Amino acid sequence: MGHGLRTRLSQMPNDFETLETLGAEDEISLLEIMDHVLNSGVVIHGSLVISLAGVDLVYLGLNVVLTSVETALKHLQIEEKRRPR
Amino acid sequence: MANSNRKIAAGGAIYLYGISESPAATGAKKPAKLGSVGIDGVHPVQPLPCGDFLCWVCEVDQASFADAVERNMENLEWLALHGVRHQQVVGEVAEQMTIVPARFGTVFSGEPALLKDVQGRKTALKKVFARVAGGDEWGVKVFAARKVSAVAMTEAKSGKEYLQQKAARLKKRPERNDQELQELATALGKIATHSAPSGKVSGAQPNLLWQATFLVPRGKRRQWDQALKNFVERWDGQRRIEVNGPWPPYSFVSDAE
Repeated sequence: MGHGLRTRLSQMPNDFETLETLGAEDEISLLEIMDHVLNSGVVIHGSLVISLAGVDLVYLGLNVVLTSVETALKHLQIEEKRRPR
Repeated sequence: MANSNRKIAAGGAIYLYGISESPAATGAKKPAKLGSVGIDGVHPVQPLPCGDFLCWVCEVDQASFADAVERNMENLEWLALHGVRHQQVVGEVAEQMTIVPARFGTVFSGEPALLKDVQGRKTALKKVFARVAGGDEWGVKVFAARKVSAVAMTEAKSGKEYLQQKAARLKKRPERNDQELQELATALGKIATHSAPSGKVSGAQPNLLWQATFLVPRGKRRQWDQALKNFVERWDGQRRIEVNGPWPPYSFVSDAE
């Protein structure tokens, strides 16, 4: 870690409370989720396959995405607290 | 209930996360129950047996989810929330068994349509499983180490001036495809089995010089980390390397289409 080499999380931690303490740099790792999840994976030609044209919008603004990821996480936190395991 | 074994309601639309090989076919352990919430926040994630395969699915409501997916793809908040949910499930499965992730947002009108489609691409899927089994996806980014001057930004008297200053700064950036970056790509490429261009979403990050995605065999993790460390030391103070992973093999499955 001391060399500026950072390994990112591959998935969201199960303890959503830890997310509240993440700094601005860590939010970018959430953006990386979008990097890997969107525009990848097998397109299965089922009876209903969704066009990804709208994803272009994501490229328009890094800040917009970060804000929306932040909002999404807050939604998730609330959701998780409502759902005891 | 007349048919209590049936987990997907007849006529229910289905969200597909990805496909694994059937434990019955490979002799692997049956997957443990997933803790992640379904894509719609309501329905549970289920493994749906499909011949030699196991489809990871979640029932979704036709009107409120399936019919709205296309429109929602342009809604960044929706995209972020559901993108994170998608990754939670695919990531959780990948910890237990190989998964070929489906494209985010793949919805089927019902179980018969899904099963028919998956069985129809059996040969292509088997080839993809052979390639990605035992490997993890890793993202690597190289940034110029110096910070963008905040002073220059505040000095701009107009929007136009700001943009001119920004353009001038971008021109001064180190070469994006120089010899040393190519050396890094070559070194990593020798350890990885495959590589792919990456990261359109974060492509606008400041000072980003280069980025790529690699499929790295789990048995080569030590070599991989060492190769990255070599460049971190070599570029100390000039360039910063960021590594993200391990990811499910999102970027290395598209030829099963």
